[in-house]
Amino acid sequence: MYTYLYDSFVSEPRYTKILGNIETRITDLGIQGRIDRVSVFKNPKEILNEAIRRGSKTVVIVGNDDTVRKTIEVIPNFDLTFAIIPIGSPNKIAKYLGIQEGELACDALSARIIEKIDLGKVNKKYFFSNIVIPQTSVSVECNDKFNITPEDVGSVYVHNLPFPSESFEPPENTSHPCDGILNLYITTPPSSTFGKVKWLLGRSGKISKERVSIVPIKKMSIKADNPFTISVDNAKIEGSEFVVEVVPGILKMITGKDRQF
Amino acid sequence: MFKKDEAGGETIIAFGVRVEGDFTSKGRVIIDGEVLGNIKTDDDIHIGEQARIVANVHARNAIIAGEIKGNVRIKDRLDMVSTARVKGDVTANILAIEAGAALNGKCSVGEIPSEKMKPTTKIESEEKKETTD
Repeated sequence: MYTYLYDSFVSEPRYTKILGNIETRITDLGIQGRIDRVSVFKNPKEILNEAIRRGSKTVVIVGNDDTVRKTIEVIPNFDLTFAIIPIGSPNKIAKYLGIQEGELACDALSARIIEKIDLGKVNKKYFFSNIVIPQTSVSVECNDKFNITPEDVGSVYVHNLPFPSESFEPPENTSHPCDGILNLYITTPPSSTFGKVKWLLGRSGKISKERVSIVPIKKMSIKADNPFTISVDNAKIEGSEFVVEVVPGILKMITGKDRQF
Repeated sequence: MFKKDEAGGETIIAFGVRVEGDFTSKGRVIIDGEVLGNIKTDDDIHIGEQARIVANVHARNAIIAGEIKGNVRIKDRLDMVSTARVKGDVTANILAIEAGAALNGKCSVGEIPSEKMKPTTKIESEEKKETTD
């Protein structure tokens, strides 16, 4: 049985037609179910609890990347299969999973190609894509075995998926959502030698000013004397200590045949 | 779609980054920074010209162009280029040293037999018998 979790913005008039087409297609495919809308009075966690009580096995998130981000925080607490029908923008996650927009997403939903995807966890908060820790020279402890310290002020990125974050695009073929690891990237500025700036040839063949260190990790911790802000899937959180770890294969997600992994 | 092997990704320690502790990997390792501790990988390792390592190094194959203070144990082939500076014992199945490379330490090259060698000729057997008498 299916439960459709609608974000609040899909009720806007501009989405009426596309939503109608989706609901028609769902009925044609025989995968209709109960529709629950996220609102001020009802959050995703409550909707998922009700879905479990009704015996739903699949929850379909109807919305954009922000809808997925809001739901991801509570998803691991439930033994359900999830899917996305992308509406609005941005929709990078659905595209990465091979899910096309609108009614075409219903066909992927019907095909039920399920992948077990890793999630990341920072303190008690789950994340899907990446963490950004800008402009820091703080030491990072990895896998409880070694420390990594940039000698100059640099930025730290932790990626579960290969999506570009605010100011960084991970090198190709380094992040994968089903490999059981997270990738730690540390960018440091080039040093000056005799007044000249060193240039490094990037993996893409383009000249890059920054140096990038890449370390596959399962766990890392970073702490500082004073609180600092990090960005988790584009949401800011503040603290003086963050413990980041991978949770392998925790998310059962319906994907499309055009998925990018 | 094929799934990526767990923890088999490439590791790069760029210049300007320092690693302290025991570093273990299953994939290829490229070091241009500084490492203090131990480095172990099941795959290949490349020590860049700017790298400064105070650690024991274990890998399958290795190319060394930088500085290592520590023992180096390579399962297959070790290449030391002209800018390599190794202070420690080196063990490898195949060793290639370019002119200009520096090595200070014991060097063991070639396959180490897994059991004690038995005499293969009649003369060796007689010599062995004489020493035991």
